[in-house]
Amino acid sequence: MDLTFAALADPTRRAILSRLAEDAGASDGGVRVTELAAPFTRNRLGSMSLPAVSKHLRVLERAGLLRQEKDGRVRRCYLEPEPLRQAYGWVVFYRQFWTQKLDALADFLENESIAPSPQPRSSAEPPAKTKPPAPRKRGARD
Amino acid sequence: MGPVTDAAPAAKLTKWIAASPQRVFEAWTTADQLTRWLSPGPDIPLAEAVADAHVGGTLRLVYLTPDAPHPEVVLGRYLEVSPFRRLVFTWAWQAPHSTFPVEHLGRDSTVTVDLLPIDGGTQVTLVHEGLPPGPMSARHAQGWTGALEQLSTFYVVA
Repeated sequence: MDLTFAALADPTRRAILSRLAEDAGASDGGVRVTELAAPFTRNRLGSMSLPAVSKHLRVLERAGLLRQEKDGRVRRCYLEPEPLRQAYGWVVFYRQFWTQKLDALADFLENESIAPSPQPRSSAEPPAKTKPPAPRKRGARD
Repeated sequence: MGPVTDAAPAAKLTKWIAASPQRVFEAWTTADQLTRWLSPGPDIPLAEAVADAHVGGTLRLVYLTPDAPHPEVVLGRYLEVSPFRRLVFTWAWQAPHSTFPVEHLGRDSTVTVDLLPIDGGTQVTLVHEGLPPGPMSARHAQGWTGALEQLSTFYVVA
């Protein structure tokens, strides 16, 4: 697991994985190393050398996140998703959990008309359902 | 917090809500309001909530799941309560009846909720950190595509 997180702690390597993930969705033909490296070797992000990119690929390979295969003179890379699945199960779970909760919170606050009570800790008090909607004009002077 | 865990898993998200920070804070800190929105859905009600929202106070959430004989219980403790601005609490699923994997039971993770008044509403930023690495369950591990999409946001936290 440490290897996975260490490998992921670098923006270039995450970008490489994202690129591979896109491709994995579309086909399973893998991505040529030169193609993977292109965004880093020739754009505004600077000019990383091909060996530098290869080094990142090896780190990903050691972490079990990437597989390289020789196809004649062409090297292709494939995403190995299992360590990610292992590592991020909880993050995915909680992102989904809290995304739903915050949506529900927004629905609750935006659709129900609950007047703000003076003391926020009054847990015994039922929400004042029957109050008319509070005017939405807020922060007009900011 | 320790510096070791730069790349430790954390879930971070933000959402703008058309309500004042006061109202959002109240929804987070009032038990009967929590039960209105902090449940996964109509099929899994948040049956019971205790929100003793002061530093050291208890947060307790009891979820009823339709296909399980026992409720899932979250137990937490408030670490910071700054009205209308910030709320920090621990979060741990409780043994013994939980269906969650054992490595997460009784283990505290930390939820930080920041409220910022923006555009006449509130920007809510939520960070859930201290998560154990590892799969949650086949049912919940959504696969790697989702995880990858989120990678960029995880590291904002570090």
